Amino acid sequence: MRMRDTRRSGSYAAFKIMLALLAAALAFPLTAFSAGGEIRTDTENCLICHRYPGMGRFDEAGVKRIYYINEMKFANSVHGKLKCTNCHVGLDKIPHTDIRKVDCTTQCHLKEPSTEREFSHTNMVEKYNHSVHGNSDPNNPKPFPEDLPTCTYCHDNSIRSPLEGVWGTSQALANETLSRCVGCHTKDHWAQNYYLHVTHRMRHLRSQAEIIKLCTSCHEDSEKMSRHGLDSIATFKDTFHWNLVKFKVKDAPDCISCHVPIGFTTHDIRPKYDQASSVNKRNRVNTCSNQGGIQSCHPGATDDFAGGRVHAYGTKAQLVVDGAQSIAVEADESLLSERARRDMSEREIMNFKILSYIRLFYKILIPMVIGFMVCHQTLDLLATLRKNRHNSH
Amino acid sequence: MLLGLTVVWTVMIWNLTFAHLYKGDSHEVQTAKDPGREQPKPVEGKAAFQKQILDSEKTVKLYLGYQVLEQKQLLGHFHIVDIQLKPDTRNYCISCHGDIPHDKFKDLRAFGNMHASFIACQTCHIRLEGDQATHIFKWYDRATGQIVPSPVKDGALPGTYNAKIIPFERVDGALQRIDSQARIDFAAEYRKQEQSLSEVQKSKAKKIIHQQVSKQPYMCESCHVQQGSLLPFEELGYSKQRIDAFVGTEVIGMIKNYTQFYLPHILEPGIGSHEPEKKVQ
Amino acid sequence: MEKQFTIKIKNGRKYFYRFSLNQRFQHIFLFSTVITLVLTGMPLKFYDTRWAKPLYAIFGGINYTPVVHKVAGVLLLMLFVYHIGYLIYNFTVDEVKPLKAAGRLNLPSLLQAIMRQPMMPQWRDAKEILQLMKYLFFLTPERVAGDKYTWKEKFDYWAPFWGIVIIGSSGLIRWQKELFSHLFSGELINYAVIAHGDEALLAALFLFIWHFYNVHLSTMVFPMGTVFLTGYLSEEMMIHEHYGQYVEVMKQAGLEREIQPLPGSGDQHRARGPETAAPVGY
Repeated sequence: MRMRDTRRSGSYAAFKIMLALLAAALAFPLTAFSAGGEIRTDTENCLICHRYPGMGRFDEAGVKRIYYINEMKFANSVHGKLKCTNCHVGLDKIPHTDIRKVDCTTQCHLKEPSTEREFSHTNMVEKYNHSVHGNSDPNNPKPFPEDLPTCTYCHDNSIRSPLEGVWGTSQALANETLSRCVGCHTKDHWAQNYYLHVTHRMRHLRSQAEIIKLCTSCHEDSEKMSRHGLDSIATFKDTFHWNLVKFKVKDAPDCISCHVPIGFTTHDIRPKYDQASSVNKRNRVNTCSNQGGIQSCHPGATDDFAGGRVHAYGTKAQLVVDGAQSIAVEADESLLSERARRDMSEREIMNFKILSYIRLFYKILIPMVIGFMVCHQTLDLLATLRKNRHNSH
Repeated sequence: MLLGLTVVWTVMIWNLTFAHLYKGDSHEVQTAKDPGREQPKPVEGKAAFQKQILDSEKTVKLYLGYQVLEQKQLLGHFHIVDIQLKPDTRNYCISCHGDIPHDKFKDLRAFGNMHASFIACQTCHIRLEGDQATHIFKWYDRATGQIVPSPVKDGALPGTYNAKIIPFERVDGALQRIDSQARIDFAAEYRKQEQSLSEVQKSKAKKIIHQQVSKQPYMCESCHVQQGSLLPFEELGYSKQRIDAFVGTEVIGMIKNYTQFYLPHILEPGIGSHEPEKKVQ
Repeated sequence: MEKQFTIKIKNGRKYFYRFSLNQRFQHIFLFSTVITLVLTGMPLKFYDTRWAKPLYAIFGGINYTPVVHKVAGVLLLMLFVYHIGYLIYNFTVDEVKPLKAAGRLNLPSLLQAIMRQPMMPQWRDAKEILQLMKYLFFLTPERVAGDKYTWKEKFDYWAPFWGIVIIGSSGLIRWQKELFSHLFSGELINYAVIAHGDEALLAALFLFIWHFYNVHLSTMVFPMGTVFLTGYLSEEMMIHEHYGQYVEVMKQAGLEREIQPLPGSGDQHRARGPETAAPVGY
């Protein structure tokens, strides 16, 4: 017991030191500011205006735009070392009349250490453009390109974060690793930055529920989905996977657990008929059973296991079942119907029918049985009342 | 008692059986119908209001590893905001004009809104003249509405004070806040009864509410000047360094840039005069 | 097995033997596992309700509740297997051996024997239901003269029987999904998910509305029937529910003179017993 206490107080001391370090790091811009200067990253003095939280307006479409920059959060973010104009190209006049949308492929004057060339996100963007979310094929442009998510739809300027959290179990690891760095790299602040640069990429930044919220912000919008010929994935919420998320199971499967398993990248999600997709028939067993030897949810998964539908059938199957004639009439109008006919195999339709029948069976059986029981009990109660009255005469 | 029992049973049974099934049904209708073909059109304006006004205020959680931030979700907004000013409970202007009121002049609106987060509307939009003018300005707390000592001294980051500057006026020799309880009550009463008022009564009430509002508000150079600023910066608690920044060449140069090249007409009387901002519907 | 009397008289009131200790034990086992299963399972089906998480937390949250559920499920399945064995044993002793001794062991006689079993649905049950309808709809004041097991009790028996088959098999499929996918299509898991949840909902509702009402809450026995603990049923309930058997047993015991008339049959001057049944010790 005593041992334990000492250990705890030891880690508490380390925690306090770490806290002080971090507070110092966080407070750095603040102290810099209150010393009368400008903050280190803001050599262009943009924050003279943009540090005010009220800075903002509604744009013509009624969308709230905020031009506020949280200095401390920005300084600790993954882009914290950049100047504003590195990304916001052309914003060097006041008022900012020459506004261009930020382009993540812009070369941002940072040297990428491996090639010594200027850094940009071009690689990612190119990959992304060829993914299911991109719109790269000029011969086959996607309808409603405005629905496609942009970089900032999913990404914010995330704050660099350590493994598991500073106060978590990985603290010892962080101290240990850093102690080796600072032997040679004598600037603590630099070493800390570098460490965070690496660890930031080694953990999920969003909880399962947040991932699902992000994906479903489009994929549950059945209107938006049907104009791209897709099912709304609300049926995900009928699965046990969703139950696990709902009850906050650690490692509960969210969208990317299966659609971007280990070894795949979010920027390169492919449609399921593409052989490079993690949910393609070829790769599905692996996705369920063994993700690069790291994650193993259903180790015994077979082809048949992985062949089953994970989200229940949605609109498409319903459309096919609803009758060929309605599809024939409206096939030209509805991309969804067309895709439904193309995508749904006969086997899948049969399975959908069986599922529907099971549902229907219970939908009829439950009310029938319960209805019968309720009638009986009510009548029985009435009969007893009648008898009691009769007897009391 | 038996009848009561029957009712309780029936309600419980309904909730457990059919209610659930009906709920399930509606869920299925939403997902199983092709909205392009069959979705019944909702009352359009109402649905749009629901979607754009009521549902748009969502929050998003940002997991930083050592901290979880929850902030208003701004789809597509890149930088982390992580600041939530408390709603101003005292200011009665915003109950109609909203919290982000400036919209009219494209080049100025963001600046206007920026200042509005720590300066009460009346400070700029009311010109107190003659006897009324007191040249007294104080800070009040956004949440409580009470006058508070200057928050600037505490080393708080600019604009994050949760307090606003409000002017004082002199009525019959006595000093009082310009947002007096009487005015607040008047405006509140108007909002309460708006539905039942006649058009003429509405016009009259609006006229009275906006009685003090000046057609020509104070502009940038009323305060951002080396000498004779409207706001008594020192009394409001600003340090010498901050004041120097307000009236330094950078800010003043920027304002000159605006007034001379972009908005030369804005300070001319009569042109671009301010009607009160359009009412937020 | 303990020695039981068909009629026991205590404080001047008659009690009728209905369930053996073995049966009562099976029943207690059955309902405790089922209640556990309902409580640990329903929060998953109704995950969005307010009660789901607190209820789940009582059983140890997401880490332990599924274990509780699985253990209870396995126990229930074991009981099911035991019960089947119990049926077969009794059937062998009571029917097959006498038949064999009489040298009439063939398929028709076996089938006849099966149909004779007290829990098998019989033509009489349909008539009972018809009679009950008449009574419930005010067409006759006469209640049904139920035999040893009424149609209600047969319903009570066969519904969980069918439920355990469906829920048990679908539960096993959900549990060992990878294993079952070696034998069947992966789509079977989806069927099992629906069948397990919906059938369980039906079963739970059935138990709480039908069974609870009939044996505990209906006005004759309110607030709780005790036969499931004592094995004995009061004379009043016996007349009310199982008049046929009542008359038979009374005759066998040589108590013809004390047989009470069926209520509503015209003979209204019968002595009415106390409203509530006193607990019985033996």
